[in-house]
Amino acid sequence: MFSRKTSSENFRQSVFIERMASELPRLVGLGMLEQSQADRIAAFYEREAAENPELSGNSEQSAQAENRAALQDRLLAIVICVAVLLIGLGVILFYSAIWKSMSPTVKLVQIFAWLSAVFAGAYGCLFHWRLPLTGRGLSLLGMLGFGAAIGLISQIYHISSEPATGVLVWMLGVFALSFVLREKAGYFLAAALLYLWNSWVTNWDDPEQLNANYALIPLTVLLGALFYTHERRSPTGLCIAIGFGLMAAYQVSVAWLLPFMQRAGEFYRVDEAGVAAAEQALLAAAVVFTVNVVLIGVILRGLGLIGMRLANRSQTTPEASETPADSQALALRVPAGLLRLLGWLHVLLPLSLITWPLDFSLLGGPDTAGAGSPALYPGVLPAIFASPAALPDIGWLLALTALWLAIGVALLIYARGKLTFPLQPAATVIVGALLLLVWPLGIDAAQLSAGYVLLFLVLGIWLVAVLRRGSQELGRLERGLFVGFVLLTLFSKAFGLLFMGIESDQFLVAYGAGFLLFANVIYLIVRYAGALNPATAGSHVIWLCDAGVAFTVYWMLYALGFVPDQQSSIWGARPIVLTLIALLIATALVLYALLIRRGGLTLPLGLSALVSGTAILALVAGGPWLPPAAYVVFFSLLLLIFVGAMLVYSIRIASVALANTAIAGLVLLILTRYFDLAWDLLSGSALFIVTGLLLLVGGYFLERQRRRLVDTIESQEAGQ
Amino acid sequence: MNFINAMQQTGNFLKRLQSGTPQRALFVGIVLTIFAVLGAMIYEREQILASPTRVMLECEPVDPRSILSGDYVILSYKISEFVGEEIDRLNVFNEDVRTDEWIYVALREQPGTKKPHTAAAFSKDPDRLRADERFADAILIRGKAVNSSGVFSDGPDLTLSAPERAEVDAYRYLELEYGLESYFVPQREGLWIERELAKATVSVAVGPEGQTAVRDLFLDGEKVVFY
Repeated sequence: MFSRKTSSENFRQSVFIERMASELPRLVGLGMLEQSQADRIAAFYEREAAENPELSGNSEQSAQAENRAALQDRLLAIVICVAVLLIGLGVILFYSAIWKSMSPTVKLVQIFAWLSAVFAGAYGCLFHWRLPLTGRGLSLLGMLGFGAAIGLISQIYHISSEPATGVLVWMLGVFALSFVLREKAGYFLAAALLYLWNSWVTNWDDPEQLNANYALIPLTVLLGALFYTHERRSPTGLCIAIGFGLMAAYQVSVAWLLPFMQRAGEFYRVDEAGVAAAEQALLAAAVVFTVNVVLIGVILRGLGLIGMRLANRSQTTPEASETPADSQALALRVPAGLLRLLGWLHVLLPLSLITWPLDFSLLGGPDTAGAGSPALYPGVLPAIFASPAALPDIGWLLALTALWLAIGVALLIYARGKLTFPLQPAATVIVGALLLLVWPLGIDAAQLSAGYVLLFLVLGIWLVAVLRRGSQELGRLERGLFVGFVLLTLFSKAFGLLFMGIESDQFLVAYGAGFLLFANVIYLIVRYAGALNPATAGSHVIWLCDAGVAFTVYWMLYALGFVPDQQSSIWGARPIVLTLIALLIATALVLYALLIRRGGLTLPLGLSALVSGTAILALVAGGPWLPPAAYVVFFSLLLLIFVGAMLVYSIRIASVALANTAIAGLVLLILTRYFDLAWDLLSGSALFIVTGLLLLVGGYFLERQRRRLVDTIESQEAGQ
Repeated sequence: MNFINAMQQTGNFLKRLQSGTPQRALFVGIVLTIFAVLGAMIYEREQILASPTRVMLECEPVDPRSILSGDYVILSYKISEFVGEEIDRLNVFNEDVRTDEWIYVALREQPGTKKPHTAAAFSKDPDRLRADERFADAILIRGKAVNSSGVFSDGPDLTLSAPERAEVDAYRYLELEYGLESYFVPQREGLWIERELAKATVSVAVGPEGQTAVRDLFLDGEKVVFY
């Protein structure tokens, strides 16, 4: 930026000369240079080093000099920052004190004089007196002063209309000055003003009045490009630009959605037909919006992976940020990670939501099925095109869907062959999202079946991709996110279904057994993905997913052992329930067939078949004819078998952790069952005494058993 | 499309722009533009204030919650909000008004009095108002619909009884802003003015296109002077 060579430039030059000296013989050896050319190049740099003593020192001295210079620069920057702040505060206080006694003319003259002095000072420091830091400080003060001047003129003339325009003008001035001076602090100031201006013009505080601010799109691109091209690339700045990009995407979507929603609201006032039309319209809007969210997620993740690729490609050394190019490359990692994280959230959260019913009375039986449930709708797109009145309102939102789709597909085509990660997950998500538009929504069976199939497909394909060798670009972040999502899905399903079961009372066993079938499918998907990638059999991803399944299955079996009331038969529930159970069983059977063909029947596979088979038995045979105690015995027994099988398996795979966990599960089961059954039989004091004695004896035997198990495992490990 | 190359090329373009342009000249140019913008703001206001057309507007009391550090007063006028039957009376061309649309209000002096101006009509089309001889003596000022219930062209529902119509009318409203809603005052001078707003009137200069600027604030007919 400035003509004077700084110590950091000298340092870089000296490092370059040293590296050149070591590289020249290699280049000659490779035949890229003649020896005579190499000699001439070496002589040239030796001469330059001799003319400039700062270049001739060894790298250690240069580094020390560099450190000293950097420290001085930093100190100076702090001093100047404090000075700028103090001057700014002083000026504000001064004006506050004398403002009342000044006429408008005097006020205006003062503003112009003050601003002129600041800019003249900045110009002198930057271009004449070689005081770059002071110049930068003054130019920042000038940028702030510009805003203050706009505010003061508005005050003098009592201008209250379009206050956002003042902020826009201020922001553009800051953008322009920062661009010319390459002032990163100015970019941040411009970003803050962009946020302020955008909030003002879009009415974020009043959702009913929300506008789309289209100018935010080019300004976000400009801001991102400025942060990207700065000589010291700013990860924070790039993350801010990503935030603005997301804000732009959503404010356009929401602003186009709102009129449609408001119109749908008007239908409610008409009659019953109006209510049905409103429900249809709202459902259509919700689906189109969800599809947009998912497609935005695909784009974000794609951009994140490209950003990571860009960082890897630009980096010249493997680890540290030794060169400026490396620093620039490393600065891309944080925003790239943020993009990928946001992409995941956009795809997976809607995905997990569509596996839940729109109303929570699915098992309410045929009599109540019609009440409050939406009418039968065709697919969202057919519904929209069948009703021309709705088209103008939602047309723009659909156009936006098409735009996101085009960008997503373009990214996929670009990524094909250039990036090493597999493309199937993103392609599956795109196809799945588009299917939502034509799927006959409003029919719970169709919606939920589609939701589950999509969830299983995405989980399976994604897991295969995450585990695949050579997909290092996916990295730890994606693996962690995948495990997090599987656990979230399992836990939310377990608690959600249990809650629905408790709410419905007489269908608790049905909901619980349904979860067992669901968890089994997840388990089988993880197994199959692992089988497709044998090299990753011990991967933490698989291990954590298995643990999640085991944990939630344990708790569900445990909860089902406390069934309090008589249960209704599953055959009396709505057809959707049977459809979903059939879907889960069919998926499990296909996966069993695939797994057995690959590796035969293993103990965990047999155990999973036993648990899900028992769950099916409970579902089919359960009903008012069985007393609640039968379920208690049934599921307690199953839990015992489950824990026992885990113990056996822990020895087979030599896992002390699994053995300890299984024993803890067993102890908990026995204790709670004992208290549950025995409390009524014994008086309080006798119960505690007997329990204490039993625990002592039981503890002794359990500890002996545990010791034996651990010894067996350790001897197995020693033998391997 | 090679996305990475496109990104890099954009970056390179910006860098070339930065390195290829005369930095000093650009700096001076931008600073001069900044001064020009500030000058234009002042010029535009002075032009309106120099206009001989003036109106006097009556203020309405507002909640004092809007005071920011006591250094400005929120002004609300009798012509800031129209509701129900008032809309039907003033909407002489039966227009629908949506939020964010510009509206021109024809103001008229109350004949034979020195009382503030009142609204005689409003329309989205100033030329139509000017051409209408009923408003030949009126002064047009421009405002923006910041909140509107929207459809006014249907007029009142005459099939309803008077109480029913009153109930429906409450949901037919039009809120306008003229850019005259703030009056900046020295610190700690705002509260007492806000308390007296029921007695306040504001002298407003009106430009040829209906643009407005606050000239002076009057309390009980006396001009408020701070310096």
